Amino acid sequence: MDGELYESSAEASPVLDVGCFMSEFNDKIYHPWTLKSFIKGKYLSKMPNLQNHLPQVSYDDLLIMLQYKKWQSEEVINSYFDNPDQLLKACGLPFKWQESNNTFDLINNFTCPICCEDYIEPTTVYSLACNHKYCLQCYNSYISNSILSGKLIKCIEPSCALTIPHRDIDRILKVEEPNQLLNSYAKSFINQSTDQFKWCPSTDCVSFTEMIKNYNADDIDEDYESNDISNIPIVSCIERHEFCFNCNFENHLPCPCFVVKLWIKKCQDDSETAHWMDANTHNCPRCETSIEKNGGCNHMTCQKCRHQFCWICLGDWNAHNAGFYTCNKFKDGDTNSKDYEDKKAKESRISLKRYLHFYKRFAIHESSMRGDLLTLKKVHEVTKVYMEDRKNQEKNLSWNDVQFLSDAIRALIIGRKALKWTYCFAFYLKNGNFTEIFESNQDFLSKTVEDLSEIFEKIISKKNRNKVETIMQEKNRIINLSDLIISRKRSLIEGAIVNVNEDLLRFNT
Amino acid sequence: MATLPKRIIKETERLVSDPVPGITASPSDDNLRYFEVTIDGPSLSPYANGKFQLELYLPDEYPMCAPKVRFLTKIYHPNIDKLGRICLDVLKDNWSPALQIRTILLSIQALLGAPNPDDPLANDVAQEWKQDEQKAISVAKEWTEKYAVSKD
Amino acid sequence: MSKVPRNFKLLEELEKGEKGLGAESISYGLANQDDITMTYWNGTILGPPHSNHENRIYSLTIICDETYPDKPPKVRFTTKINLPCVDSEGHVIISNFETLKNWKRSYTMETVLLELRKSMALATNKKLPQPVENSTY
Repeated sequence: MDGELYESSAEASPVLDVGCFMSEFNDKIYHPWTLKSFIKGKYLSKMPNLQNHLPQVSYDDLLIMLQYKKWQSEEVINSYFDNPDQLLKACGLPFKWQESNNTFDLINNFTCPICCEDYIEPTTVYSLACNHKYCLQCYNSYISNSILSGKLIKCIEPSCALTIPHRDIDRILKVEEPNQLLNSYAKSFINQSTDQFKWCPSTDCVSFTEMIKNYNADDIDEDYESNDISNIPIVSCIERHEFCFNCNFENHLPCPCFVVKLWIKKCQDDSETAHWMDANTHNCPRCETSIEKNGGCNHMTCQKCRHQFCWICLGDWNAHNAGFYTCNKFKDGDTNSKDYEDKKAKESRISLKRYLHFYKRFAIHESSMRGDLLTLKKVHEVTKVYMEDRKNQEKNLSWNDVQFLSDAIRALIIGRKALKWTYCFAFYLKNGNFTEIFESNQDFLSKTVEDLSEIFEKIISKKNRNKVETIMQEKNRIINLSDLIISRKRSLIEGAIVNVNEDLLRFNT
Repeated sequence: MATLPKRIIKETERLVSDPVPGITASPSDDNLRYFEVTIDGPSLSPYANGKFQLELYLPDEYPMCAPKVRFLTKIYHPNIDKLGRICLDVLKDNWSPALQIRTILLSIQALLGAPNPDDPLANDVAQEWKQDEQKAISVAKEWTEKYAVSKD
Repeated sequence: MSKVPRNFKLLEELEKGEKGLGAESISYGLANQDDITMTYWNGTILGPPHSNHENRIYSLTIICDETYPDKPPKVRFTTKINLPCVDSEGHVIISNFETLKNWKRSYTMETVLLELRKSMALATNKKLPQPVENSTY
C-alpha cells in the first residue's frame, strides 16, 4: 500500500523527471526502483522499437540480441544490417534457414547423457537447434546453477554455442514470475554498479535506488572522517524506507557515516556487557511488579499500582511533562564515590556507565520502533473497519480520507529513527555550550513522539470498545502531532548540520 | 548413506571397464564419491616417467558442479601449488555437466604437458618459470625423479 | 549429504581461513605452508571484551590427524591461560569442553576457536585471575 501512496505523493518537485525525487537536506536527485519496474524501464522498453526495425526476427531472438548488445537497441539494428550472420553467430542463434531453434519433445525410451537416467515412460526433453537433448530435470538444475551470473545461458554441451531463449528458461524453471534471467542480470548489474545503485538496507525490502545526481559526492567517503553532515545523501526506496546512499545504512542523521561505523563497532564489541540489559522488561519502580512492554510508547502505567513512569529513565512521568524533560542527559556526576578503586578502574567504570546511558536510550528507541510497528499494524486493521464504516454513510470515499493515518505512521517511524541516532550523536559529542541546545531539541522531539505513540496505543487498547470513534476524536491531534514531529525532527537536524559546520558542536572520536 | 546417482555409477563402471591410457581412478571402499587417482606424466614433458597420485571427490551437486581434485604427489608446476591445488578453467568457471571424471583427468594430464605460467596458482614457481624456463624445466624433472618415480 | 573426505574438508577450512571470510575475533592457518597432509595448524583468539582476557591475543596449536573430522582435533594453548577446560600444559581437556566432548563431523576449527572464546567470556570464567600477559607454556 505504501508503494501506491508513494506514486501520488506530493513530495516530488515538478522540475524533476518522472520517478525522480530530491533529498530533504540537500539537492541530491534519485530514482527509486523495483526490479520489475527497472527491467521494464531499462530493458524491455527497448523491444517495441527493435520489433519495428526488424520485423523478420522473432521476439525471443531479438531479446537475446538485445541482451548480447547490453541493451543498446541501435547497436543491434546496426550490426544486424551490417552482417546478420555474424550477429546471429555471436549471440548463439541458429541461422535463418533453420526452422525452429528450440523444442520441448515428449519422447519414449530416452537416456539422459547427464544424469544417465533411463526414461522408459514418455518424458519431456529439451533441445535447441543443435538437437542436443537433455531431460528437463537436468536442464532445470543446470539453469538454476548458471542463472545467478545473469549471462546468456548456452546449451549444456560445452562445444555447442547456442543460446537458450529467455522464455524457455522461465518454462524450464517452472516459476510463475517471468523474466528470471533478466532478474539475475539486473541484480548482478546493480551489484556491480554500487556508485550508481544501492539496495535498500531494510530487512525484507528488495527494492533499490538509483542516484541520478549526487553533488559533491567526492567530499564524502565512507572511510574519510568528515564531520560535514550537510552533504549526506539520504534517499528513500520505493517502499519509502529512508537510507544513506553513502554507507548504505538506514537514515542515520544527524550522525556522520564514520560515527555510525564507530558506534556499530562499539555496540558489537560491548554486546556481551550490554546484554544483561533487556530492553523489554523492567520492574515497576514503585511496586517492583515485572512489566513487559509491547507497544512503542515509553509512558508506562503499572497495571498493579497505577504508578506512571518513564520506561527510559524509570523516573516519574509527571516530572517529564511538567518540568524539563531530562531523561536524555548524561550527568558526569557520581565521581565522589568513596571506594578505594584506583583512578583507572574508576575511569573505565564511568566510561562504561556513560556508554550504557546512551546505548540504553538508543536501544529503547530501536525496540520502541518495533513496538510502534506492531501497534501500527493493528491501527491499519482498525482503519479498514473505519473505511467500511464511512463507506456505508457516504460515497466517493478514497484512501485520502485515511491518508492522515499513513502520514502519522510514517512521521512516528521517522521521529523514532532520528531520536535513536541522536543518542549515538550525543555519545560522541564533546560537551560545550551548544550541546544544551541540541539536548533541548532532542527533548522536544522525544516528547512529541511519545505523545503520538500514546494516542495510537490508546486507539488499539483492548479496553477501548469504540476504536473508530477514538480515531475520529483524535484526528486533529494526530495530524498536528505528525506535523510537529516532522518539523521538530527537521529543526533538530538542521540545527545539528549548522552547528557542526560552524564547529560549535564537535565530535570526540 | 544416500544412494549413489546413476551417473556416478555409470562413470565409475566405465573408468574400470574402459580405462584411459596413462590414467587410473578407483573409488574408495568407504566413500564411493572419493577416488584414488594416478596420472602418468606426458612423455614429452618434464614430468615424463613420473606417476602422480591425486585424490578426487564428487560433491553432492555433481555433475552440476565440478569434481574437486588435488595432487598428493609433490610437483613443480606453475598451475599447481604446494598443497597440490590445481588452477584449471574446467574445474572452475568453465565446468559443464556434460564433462566427466575422465575428461577432467585428461585435461589435468594435458596441463602437465602444457604449463601456463601466465595464469599461475603457484606464484613463485610461475615467476621462476618465466625468468628461466630451461632451469624451471630441469627443476620440474628433478622433482619428478625425486617424488614421482617409484624406486623399485 | 555425502561425507566430505578429510582432505577436501580441510581445504575448504583453509580457504575460508585464508580469505578471512570467518569471524574477526579468531584466525587460523596451516603451521607450515607446504604441509601437504594439512595436519599442523596455528590458531589465535582475541580475548573477549569486559573480561580479564580483554585485548590479549592467545596463540594455539591445532592437530588434525588422520581421524579428523570423524574425531575432534587436538587443541593446545601456547599462550598461558587460566580456564577450567585447559590443563597445566595448555591442552584443552576434551571432557571439560563441550565442543570436543560432543564432537560433530560438521564442526570446524573455527567452531572450536569461537567456542573457546565464548567460554572465556562466561560469567564464571571472565574474572578468573590470568597469568602474566604473553607468557607461554
